[in-house]
Amino acid sequence: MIQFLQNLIDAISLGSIYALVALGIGLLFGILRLINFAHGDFITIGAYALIVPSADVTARLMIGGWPWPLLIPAVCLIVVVAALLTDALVFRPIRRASSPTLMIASFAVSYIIQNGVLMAYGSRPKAVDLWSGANTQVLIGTLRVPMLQLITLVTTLVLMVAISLFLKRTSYGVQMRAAAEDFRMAQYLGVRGNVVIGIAFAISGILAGVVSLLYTTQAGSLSHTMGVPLALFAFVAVVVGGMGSLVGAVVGGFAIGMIVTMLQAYLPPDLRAFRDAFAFAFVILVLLVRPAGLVPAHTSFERV
Amino acid sequence: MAALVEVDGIHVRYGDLIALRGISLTVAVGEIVCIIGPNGAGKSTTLAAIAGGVTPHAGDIRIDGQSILGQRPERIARLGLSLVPEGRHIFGTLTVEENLRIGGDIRRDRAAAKADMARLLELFPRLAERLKYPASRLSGGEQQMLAVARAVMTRPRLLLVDEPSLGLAPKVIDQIYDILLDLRRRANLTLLINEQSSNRILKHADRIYVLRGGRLQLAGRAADLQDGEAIRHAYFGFGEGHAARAEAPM
Repeated sequence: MIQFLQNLIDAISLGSIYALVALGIGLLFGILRLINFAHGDFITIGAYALIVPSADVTARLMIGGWPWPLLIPAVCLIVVVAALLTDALVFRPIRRASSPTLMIASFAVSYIIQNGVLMAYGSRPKAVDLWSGANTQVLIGTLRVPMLQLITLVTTLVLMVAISLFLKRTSYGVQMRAAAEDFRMAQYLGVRGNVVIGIAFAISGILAGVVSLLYTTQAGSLSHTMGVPLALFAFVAVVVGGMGSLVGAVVGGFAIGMIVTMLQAYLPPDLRAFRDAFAFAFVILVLLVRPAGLVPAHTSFERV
Repeated sequence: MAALVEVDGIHVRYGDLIALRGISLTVAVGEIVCIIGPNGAGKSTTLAAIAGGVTPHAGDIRIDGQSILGQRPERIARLGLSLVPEGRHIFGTLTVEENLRIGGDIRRDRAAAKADMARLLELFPRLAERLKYPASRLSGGEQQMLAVARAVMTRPRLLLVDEPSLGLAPKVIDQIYDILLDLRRRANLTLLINEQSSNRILKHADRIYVLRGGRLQLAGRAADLQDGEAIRHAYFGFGEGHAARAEAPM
C-alpha cells in the first residue's frame, strides 16, 4: 500500500510537469491552431540560461547562481522574450497559413534553437547542480516525499489557479477565451488578434521557464535536446485530453504521468524497456474509445 | 446626408469561386439600408468585406471617405462599425455577461460601457435573467438578441446585421426588428441589414439593394418599390408576365 502511494506521488509529480508543458502547448493551439513543437526548446532555452555560454565540459552557473527570487523571474523573462521573438519573426508573417504549415514552421524553430544551443554550448551534456536540497525527504505520515516533488506539485497548482483566474476574471483573459473559440468574431468585436496571441505566447513562455527550472533541478544535467521528449509527451497529453481544451491538456498531462509511472513500477522487469510503447498503446486505446479526447473542446476551427 | 460607407465596385473571390462581381453601394448617416437577395447572392460577403473579414481584390471601400481596404477587422471595429454575423457566432463557452463585456472592451470609457450594458439589459430582460449562463444554453432567438446586444456594446455608428431572421419564428423576428428599430432611435444607429425576403424590410428600409449572382440587380428607394414587382424581377431574374425574360441580363 505504502509502495503504491509512493508510486502515486511520483506519478502526480511527473504528471504535473507534463501538465505544465501541455498547458503551454494547449494555450497556443487553442488560439492559433498552432501545434508548437518548439515549446520543448523554449524549455531548453530556459535551462541553458542558467549557465555561462561556453563549450567547456564543466558548466559554470550564470543566472543559475543568482538567489531564487531573482533567478525565477530572470529565467521566465528570457523564455518569454524568446517566445515573443518567435511569434514576431516566424509565426506572425504566416498568420493566415494552415495548421500543418504552422506546425512545420514550429519544427523549423525547434531545429534552429537546438542547433543554436549546440553552437553556443557544445554538444556534451552538462551537469548542473541547481539545488542540492532538492532530494531532502519530507515525511508525511509514513510516506517519504522528496522536497522537489512537493514543490513541483505546489507550483503546478499555483500556476493553474493563476491561469484560470486570468482567463475568467480579466478582460484579456475573457478576450483570449473568445478568440480561442471564434477568432474572427472576436476581431469583429475589436479584440486585437496580435495582442491576444502575444499574451498567449508570453504565458506559454512563463510555463516553459518554470518547467525548465523544475526539470533541471531534478535531472541535474542539460542537453540541447532535453526539451524534445517533454514536448512529445505533452503533445500526446494534449491529444488525449482533447485538442483545444485547456482542462483537457491538464487532465491529459496527469493521465500520461500516471500511465508512464505506473507502467514503470508494475510492468515485469523484462518489459520495462518497452514502457513507452505500452504507454502509447494505451493512448491509442483511449483515443479509440474517445476520439475527441477525454475533455473535448467546443470550438469552431476558423482562424484569422 | 454624409456617406458613412461607400462600397465602390468591389470584386471578391474565394479561391476559384467568384462571390462578388463589382458591387457598389452607399450608406448615409442615419439611414436604414437593406440588401436582399437569394442564398449565395453575395450578401454576406458584402457585409464581411465592409467589416474587414474578406479583402476585395478590386474596387475600394471607404468609411467617412477614407479607404479601409486591407485593414484588420479590429481596426475597422474601432472606426465605429459592428457586425452581427449570419449564424450569430455567439461565444458559447463564455457566459452571456462575458459575451457582452467583450463588446464593451473596445471602448476607452469603461463607466459608459457599464451604463450601456445596464440599459441594454433593460431592453433585453431575457438576457438579464441569464447573465451567468453559458451563452450556448440560450435559445436561437435569445442568441440573436445577444449577438445584437454584443455588437451594440461596441457603441457603433453603423450596425451591419446579416440575416437577423434566419431560422427564427416570425414572432421572434418581429421582436428582433422592434429592438433594432428601437436601438436605432436611442443610439443614433445607422443600419445595413441583409435579408432573404423583402416583406418585412419594405416597411422599415429607406433604400434597398437587390443582389443576385454576385451582381447588383436593382437599387432604389423603398418607397418606390412598394408593389414588389421590380424586386421580384430582380430577385428571381423573372417576374409575373416576364417569364420570357428568364435569362435576365446579368
